[in-house]
Amino acid sequence: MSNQQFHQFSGTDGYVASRALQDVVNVALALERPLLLKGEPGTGKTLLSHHIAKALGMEIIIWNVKSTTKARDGLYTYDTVQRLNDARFGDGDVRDIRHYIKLGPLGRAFASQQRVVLLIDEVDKGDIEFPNDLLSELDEMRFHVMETDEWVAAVHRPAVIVTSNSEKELPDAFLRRCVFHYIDFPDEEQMRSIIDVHFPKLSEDLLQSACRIFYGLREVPGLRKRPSTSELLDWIRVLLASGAQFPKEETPSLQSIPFLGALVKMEEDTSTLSRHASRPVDVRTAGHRFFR
Amino acid sequence: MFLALYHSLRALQVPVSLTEWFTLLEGLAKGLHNQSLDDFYYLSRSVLVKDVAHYDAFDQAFCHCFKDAPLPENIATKEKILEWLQSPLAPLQLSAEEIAKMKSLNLEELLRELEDRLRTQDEVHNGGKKWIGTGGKSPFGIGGNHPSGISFAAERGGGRAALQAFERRYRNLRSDLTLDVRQISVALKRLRDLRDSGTEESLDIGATIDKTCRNAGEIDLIFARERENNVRVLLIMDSGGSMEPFRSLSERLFSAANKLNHFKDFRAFYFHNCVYDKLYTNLETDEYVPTADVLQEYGKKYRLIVVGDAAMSPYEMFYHSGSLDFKRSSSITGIEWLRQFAEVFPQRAWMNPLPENSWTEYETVPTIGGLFPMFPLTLEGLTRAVRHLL
Repeated sequence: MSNQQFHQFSGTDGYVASRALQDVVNVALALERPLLLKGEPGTGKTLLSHHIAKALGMEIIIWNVKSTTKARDGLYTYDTVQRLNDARFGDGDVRDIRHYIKLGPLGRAFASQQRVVLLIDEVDKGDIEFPNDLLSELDEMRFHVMETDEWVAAVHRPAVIVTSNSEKELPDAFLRRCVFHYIDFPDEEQMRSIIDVHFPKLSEDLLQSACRIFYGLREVPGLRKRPSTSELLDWIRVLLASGAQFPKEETPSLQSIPFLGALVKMEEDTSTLSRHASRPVDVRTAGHRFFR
Repeated sequence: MFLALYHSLRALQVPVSLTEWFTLLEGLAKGLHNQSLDDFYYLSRSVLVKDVAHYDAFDQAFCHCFKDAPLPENIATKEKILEWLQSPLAPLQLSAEEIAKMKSLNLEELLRELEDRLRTQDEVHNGGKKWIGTGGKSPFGIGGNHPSGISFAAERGGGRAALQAFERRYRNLRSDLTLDVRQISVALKRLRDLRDSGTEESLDIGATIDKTCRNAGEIDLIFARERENNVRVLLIMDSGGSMEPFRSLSERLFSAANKLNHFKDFRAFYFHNCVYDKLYTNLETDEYVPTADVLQEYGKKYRLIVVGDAAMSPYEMFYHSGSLDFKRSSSITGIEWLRQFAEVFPQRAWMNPLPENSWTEYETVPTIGGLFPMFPLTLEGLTRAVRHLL
């Protein structure tokens, strides 16, 4: 395989992908293995698959996993209740069971005539056994519909992207089949190019102070939810829309940062920040603070 | 030639299986490494390593195999120093002449001195004047108060991937010390006991057929109820005093359990030193509930998790007036209360934030360990505790 074919994905106009990320996406595409993405919230895990689809000109099918999602829902559902009701009231063609079998996201990805991107989003939200239940389907790229005794096999192997927020939970058997990548939090240089993609004409002044405040906030110890890329982008959007001015001094006080709420969202964190700003606290008396 | 990488990874306890190794070979056969060390680094890492906690070990193995690097000694030393510096202490206030005296040391002298001390220091020193540590007057350390001191803080830097392996950026994601709220929630999620309850949502086919037949063919749909977690948890935490260094860890456990919308019921209380006749609901207002009521109300039905270092003076445990608050005039000793808890809660676990290998240093830890199965407050320990509680 030549270099040309290997380098399929290299980011898009709307998404800055690091070298590592580009490589890993291309490895997963070439090996036809599911790509498992982890990383801090807000590092663009979900967004990536949209942009892979865009860059490669494929359709994207999204499967949002919830706590009640079962592996079977992704393949197909057989609507028994509808059929029984139809039988009872004489509606529809009850005789043909096919009318009551609906393909799920995975089923549609298999059945599609073109190669598609299948995003299984937040796989850790599902039941603990959820990923294991998908193993054979993802391996063999086909499944059996019991009711009709038919096989649904993939016309083209979909490019499967799996995202997860948790650190350690997915079953080993599932992990062995994946290509894994942990998306690092972007450093300042990368962040600048990300901002540049979203706000091409941002002044250097604003960019610099925004980055300084943002990375300063992330360094504050004890934050429950550290501000992430998406929050930074929202914040810049608000700043631009309102025309707010940045504080000029080198280390601005907390009160002088405009629209802090766009960056720090949890009430506990706001109080952590104000404590951090007005140090020191006497450790000996702090032991009586209520855990909250 | 790459087999060395496989064996070094296994030696560093990264769970690499043959399946993954063959996948890597497949990738190499397809030319995905692109004749470049960087691409090979990303290719092999993404295929072989499935957990960011192992990224650091991978970097070490990679260096070892492709850079001929035995682990540089100074990295190990630096890691040790950073460990010493982790424990917190209050900032120190210094008088003006002390500061003036310290300012007289110049950088070269400091560096020479540092080398000297590195050779002789072999443990954690906090709050002192000489050794490397936190919050002290020594010129070396973090958060200290030496005007011309040297601080050890984590380095930053980008660069090429193969060089990145040398930087070992994933060191911080390594061990189970970085227990965050989410990881704890994940571990606690396993604590479940599913029972039928909740709303009627799914179709019960057997019952529907049965009912329909009884109705002489007139279809009658029967729905079954959903399954729901039946586990109730009672959390009792030690706070203040010797638990101060572990406060944020306990806080995280509390908030993980509290936020997890997963248990049938979750209650938390606090105590100081040892459990006596009162358990506190709110440490600021000293709101409390009588311990006897807690035993009666929650006994048998709840699973008990106690968080505490279990390290106290024996008198705090064996005498009824042993608590710091002399106004308490209860006739039941701390150990007696603990014994009652052990009796009433068949499913119980004690989470201890102290490292497991130091437990034997405290007289009271084995005593309590005899009443409560004790686990270290790490991710691994929590997983074990949850398994025990099921």
